[in-house]
Amino acid sequence: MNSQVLKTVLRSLGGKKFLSLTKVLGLIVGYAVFLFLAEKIQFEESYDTFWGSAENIYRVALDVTNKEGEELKSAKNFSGSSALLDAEIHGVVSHVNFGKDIVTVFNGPDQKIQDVDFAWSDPSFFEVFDRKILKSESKELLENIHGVTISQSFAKKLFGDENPLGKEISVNEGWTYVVDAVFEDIPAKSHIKIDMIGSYKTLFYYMQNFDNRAQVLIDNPDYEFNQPTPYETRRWGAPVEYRPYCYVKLKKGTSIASIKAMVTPLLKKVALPQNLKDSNINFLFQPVADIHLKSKLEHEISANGNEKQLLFLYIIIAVVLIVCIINFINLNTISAIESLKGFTIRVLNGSKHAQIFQIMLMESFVFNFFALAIAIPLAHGLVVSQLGLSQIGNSSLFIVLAIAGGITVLAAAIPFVSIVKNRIFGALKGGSNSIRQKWTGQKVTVTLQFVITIVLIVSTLGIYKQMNFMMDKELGFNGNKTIYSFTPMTMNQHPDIPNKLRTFKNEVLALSGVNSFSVSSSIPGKMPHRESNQVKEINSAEPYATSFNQISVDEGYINTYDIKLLAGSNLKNQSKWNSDEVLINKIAMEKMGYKDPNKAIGKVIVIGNKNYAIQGVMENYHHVSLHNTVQPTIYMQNLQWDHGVGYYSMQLTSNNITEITSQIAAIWENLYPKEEFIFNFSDSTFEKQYGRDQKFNKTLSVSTFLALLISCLGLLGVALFNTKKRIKEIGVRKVNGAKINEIIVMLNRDFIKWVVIAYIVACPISWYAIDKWLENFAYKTSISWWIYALAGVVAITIALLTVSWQSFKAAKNNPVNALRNE
Amino acid sequence: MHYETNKKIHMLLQLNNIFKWVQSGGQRVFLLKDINLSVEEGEFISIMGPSGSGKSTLLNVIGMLDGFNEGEYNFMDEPVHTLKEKHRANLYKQYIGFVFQAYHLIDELTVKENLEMPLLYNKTSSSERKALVADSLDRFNIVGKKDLFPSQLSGGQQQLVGIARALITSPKLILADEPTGNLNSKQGEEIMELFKQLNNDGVTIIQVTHSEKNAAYGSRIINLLDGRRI
Ligand SMILES: Nc1ncnc2c1ncn2[C@@H]1O[C@H](COP(=O)(O)OP(=O)(O)OP(=O)(O)O)[C@@H](O)[C@H]1O
Ligand SMILES: [Mg+2]
Repeated sequence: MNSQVLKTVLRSLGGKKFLSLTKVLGLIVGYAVFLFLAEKIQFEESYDTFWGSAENIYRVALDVTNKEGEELKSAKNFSGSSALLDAEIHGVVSHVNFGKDIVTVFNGPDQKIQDVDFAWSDPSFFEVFDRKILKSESKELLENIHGVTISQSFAKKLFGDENPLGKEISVNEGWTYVVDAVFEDIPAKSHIKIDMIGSYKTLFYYMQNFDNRAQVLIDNPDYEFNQPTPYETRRWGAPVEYRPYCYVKLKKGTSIASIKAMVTPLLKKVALPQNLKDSNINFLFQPVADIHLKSKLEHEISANGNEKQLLFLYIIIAVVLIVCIINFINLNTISAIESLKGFTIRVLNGSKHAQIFQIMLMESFVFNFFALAIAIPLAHGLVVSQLGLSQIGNSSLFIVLAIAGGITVLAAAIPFVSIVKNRIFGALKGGSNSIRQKWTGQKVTVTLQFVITIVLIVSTLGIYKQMNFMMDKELGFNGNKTIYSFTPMTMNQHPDIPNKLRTFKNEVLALSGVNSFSVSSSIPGKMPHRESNQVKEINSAEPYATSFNQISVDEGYINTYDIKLLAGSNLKNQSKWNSDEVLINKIAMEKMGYKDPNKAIGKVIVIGNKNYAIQGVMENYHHVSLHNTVQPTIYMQNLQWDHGVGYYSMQLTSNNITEITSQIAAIWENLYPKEEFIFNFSDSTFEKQYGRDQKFNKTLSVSTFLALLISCLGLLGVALFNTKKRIKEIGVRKVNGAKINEIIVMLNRDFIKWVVIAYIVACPISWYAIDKWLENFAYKTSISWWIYALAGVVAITIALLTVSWQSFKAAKNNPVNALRNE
Repeated sequence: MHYETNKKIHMLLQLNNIFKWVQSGGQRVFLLKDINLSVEEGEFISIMGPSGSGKSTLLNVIGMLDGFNEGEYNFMDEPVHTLKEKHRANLYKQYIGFVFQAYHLIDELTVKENLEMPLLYNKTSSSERKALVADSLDRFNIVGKKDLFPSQLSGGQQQLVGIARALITSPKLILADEPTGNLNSKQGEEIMELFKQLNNDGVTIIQVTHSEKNAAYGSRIINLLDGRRI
């Protein structure tokens, strides 16, 4: 390439300013979207891959089915599980357990940091999860019984640039620790989020020696920490709240299948508690890098990602990129046709075809280069602000460069081969009609772009409609005046839970702004965790064929959430929160074989080996999102204190939310000192279940907008070319009596025809797409005709606006200018 | 024939002190200076002058395709200079036909469709359109070419279609800008004969030409130099 080629190219770009702008804009959008989404996908896919030998780290999850047939698949496990594997299996290099907690940290009287991710664990944490120890008081990590280890960024947050070692901080209930060591931060791309680690040794020591009444630690120099062996019953008895997350690290090359096979025989060596002996226990070995996208167990540390959503991201990337490439090649073809005269003159003057191709290649290159130069910083900004990454990864950059290279060559080669080569010969031989055929090619590509765009518009509208449907649907309960809080943490170690709960309940109900109070193991918007397929009618030998959810509630539940009772009566108010009365919902009643709710009242069912009498039948209400059907559920008045009491809910009558909640907070803090009263509105929690859908909707809307934008740019380019090509014809028609509006109609009619064809093609495709998406929901909106009508109107209106501007300019032009002889 | 000879003399159009200029570099560049011209119905006028003298400009002003800056223009007793754009367009649509040096046929339309086009724009009914197009094809002896595209015709044949198209709405006035400029002399002669005949049938013709011989077909010659009549 010589400098004349570049000069020619730059001049020709200057001469086609508008077309050039259109081309470059489309490319910028395409590349920026690609880079951003590629980073997002990589971000999701690279969770927990950064750990040293990540492929050898497994979480040991629990799959246990008790003798009542209740199956629990939990991310948590008994603390003996990983220890047992480590002790018995040669291929296990090390293991670690940690219990997760969210705490409030106090640094002196002035600084208070809430929502700190805390973990109780062991020094072996750093054997399994290789974080560097950046600063440390002693060689032995977590050796100091008063010590905690904190992350680098958390140390910075607490102490700025000061040396954090030896600094005192206290947590929640007043337990005070010394910062013992600082570890390298765990990246955001991990399912584990921990800023502070204390050892189990410390936990047991403080539990034994902390005087709750005086709020001081009475040190005991003779204390010795004796962790029970994994064979002892104590390591297998904890209720789920107190169970840790368990991990093992395997020797390189150890097969996970061989370890799985050893679990059952190994458990025989353990003195399991009776309830476990009667159960069927399995361990699930989850590769640490798979947890974020694939694990969907109970008690996950935090909400995980979603493989399906990732698939949609892939599709969106492909769609935007295709629209973009089509657009660029299309516009480049137009630009080549415009340069045809110049090319012909060059050939007449001895230029070779290769040199013409060189010019086209250079032009294409300049565009791609320029677009990348803008798209990369743009995407960088997005990646930094939206994903919290420090920069775009090299692999994404490399791929985008490869794509740009491919587009550069294609966008030069396609018009060169299909048009320029033929037409130059044609021009020399004296005219041909090939431009008419090529012209159809341009329209077909624009039509294709519009097909994609209309599919996206219809899908966006369909999803929008479903979201509205879900927001408006009668759920069968009322959560908009109900607030709830988790049960107090501080109660965990206290025997006086029922007494405190009773006091709290009575004092709260005495407030004039509170209508009702309920304590329950689950609330609307939260998945109930218990389920059993061993429920039977008292006189029947066989259990019902259906599995029933079980939720523990008190007598306040149906009033607090305004749930309708179809027959029977509410649970009785009684002091022990433990009775043999249950409520069931309508679907449960139907599954038990009753048609008339009144017939079910008083019937006795057996769960496990206890009898329960059906006290009332409630209307089906949606306990969880409309993704799921209403499940047959038994509401039992047996608060299982060890099974997670769960939630305190209060229905408010007062409109002054601030005042009433501060009154409740006062009662709370009096009873549960050192713990903050944190509450949420039940209806907003219910809506949070759709957070993922809303996020998806947002991604789709943005993609739709971008695709529409690029398609319009494409259309604009073609319109520009079209009117330019027909400028003489327009002049002739005007001289022969055509009015401006007649010219505009003539020019637009063609385009509208193609958009209409795109619309017809897009309708069935989008119907299929929405239908697929709606399969995610048990309760779906209908896809009404107006969605299609609206999408059609939007597409045609936007196409018309885009084209009309060009058409109007061309139609206004004085025919004298168009017809002046050259 | 559509045109009856009208022995009574009627004034068709009148230009009084027409000036036309464009602003260029802060300066007025005059394209037409003080043009006075009266044209009676049935005249055949030739405009001559060197290249750049303003012939086409004058023709466009007469054809109302282009405006002017000063002076008066009456067309069939209508003061063109005071008319609104729309009214002016209706006037030329009804009474004026244009013939161009480069023919300006629409490449994508057949001969028949090219002829039909002006009729579409003046809302002639479909049956009448068919009749008029058939008449015209017949009259100009191009029935056999009716389904061909312009690129399949010779220059002379294309200009024939151009003239046929200009005449199809039965205008009173034909404005022809170098109608034979792209033709060889034999083809040119045939076109001129045709004009002569049309003129005899009563159509007023104003043509721009460089050729003395062609100018001689007309009844009167107007000479321009630097936008001025001489
Ligand atoms: N819109 C315009 N702006 C500027 N100058 C113009 C414009 N229209 C015409 N001219 C100039 O006015 C002059 C007369 O142009 P015109 O086309 O009328 O000449 P002509 O006599 O028809 O010439 P030819 O015989 O070459 O066709 C020319 O110098 C031309 O460049
Ligand atoms: Mg001229």
